Amino acid sequence: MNENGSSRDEFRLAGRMLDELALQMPFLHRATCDAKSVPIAQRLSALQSIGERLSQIYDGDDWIRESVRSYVYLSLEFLRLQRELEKTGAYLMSTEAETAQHVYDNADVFGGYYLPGLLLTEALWPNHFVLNTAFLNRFVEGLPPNPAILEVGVGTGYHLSQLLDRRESARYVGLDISEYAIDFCRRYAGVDHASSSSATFRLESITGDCALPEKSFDGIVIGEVLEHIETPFDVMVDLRRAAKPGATLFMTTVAFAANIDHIYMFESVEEIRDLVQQSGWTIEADWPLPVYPQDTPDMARRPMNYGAVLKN
Amino acid sequence: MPEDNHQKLLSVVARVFDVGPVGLTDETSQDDIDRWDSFGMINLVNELELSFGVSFDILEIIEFRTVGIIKDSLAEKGISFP
Repeated sequence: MNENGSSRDEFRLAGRMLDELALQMPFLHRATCDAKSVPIAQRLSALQSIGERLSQIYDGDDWIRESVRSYVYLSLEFLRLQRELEKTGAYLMSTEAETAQHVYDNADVFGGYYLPGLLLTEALWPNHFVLNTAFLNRFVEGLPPNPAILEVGVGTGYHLSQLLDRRESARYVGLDISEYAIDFCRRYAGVDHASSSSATFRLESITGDCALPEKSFDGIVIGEVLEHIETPFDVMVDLRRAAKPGATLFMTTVAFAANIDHIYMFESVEEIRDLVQQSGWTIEADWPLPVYPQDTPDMARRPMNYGAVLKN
Repeated sequence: MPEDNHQKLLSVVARVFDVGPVGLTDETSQDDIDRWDSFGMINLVNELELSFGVSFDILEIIEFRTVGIIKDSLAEKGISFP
């Protein structure tokens, strides 16, 4: 066993990524490894699996340094923006037009550090790890055979890769506003243009003239999207229309947690729950998770992650 | 005065991390100060920006491993040091 609580052989790539993190930013390594809500030993297999996929995409070993640097960048950016949010009470941007220009169509941001950094948070940020575990155990495991799946905001492809690992026959439609995200998602999930997978992608916004077929999907995934759009209530209503009766939806979002592209402010977990229920969905299970260990889920204007499985 | 900026930098570091300025040198690093963690770094950057009237981007902050590196970064922004 080593200082990260792992056997190097079993989690060799995870160990190398953590070593690189210790080299680049020792205090972030400590914060990442010492987080008590989910011990690092439990998160290593997720990190190893991310590393294995990345090692298949990129030649050589530079991806370790680059992806860890992206993680460091994203983590420090969060802390800076959160400090600013706590001072001003407002997110940095407020419209989808601004975020499209500065983030989703920006080669330095979505084509640069953002997606690789976000990918590592899926294993390294305890709250993201908990929500991904819920995605697998409560959403994917509950899907019918050969499910029709809609994902709004394909992001890094982390959800898609996990879905296809367990439901290879899923018929998947992924929407994203960013070409960079669709490209990254395809590569990470191993769904290239020539593959025989039934995954299809649409480059469009869920808030635009997005014609979704009615009563068509067994499962819908909308991870960390609601805080990025101006009209989350309308989107949740639209998604209910696209869902088959009895379909499930897996969602994650945040309350009062800053990022460069967060524009819609939920001030508390209760506000999220209210919006979800008023849009017609039933909450089957949810996971309100404070970002700071000293906070509790009922607090307002404190940073929270939130995930839920909803029923139509 | 250039000397003032050196003292000013040490004072900011000492105040943010609640340590005595005596003993702080250019070689003082993150490993030497317990409170130089994620939040400490963000507090330090905020205080430096206010005190010196400069701003840092994330790529610069990532490199802030020692007091000397911070000093070099301030010097690149036109802050004079002896």
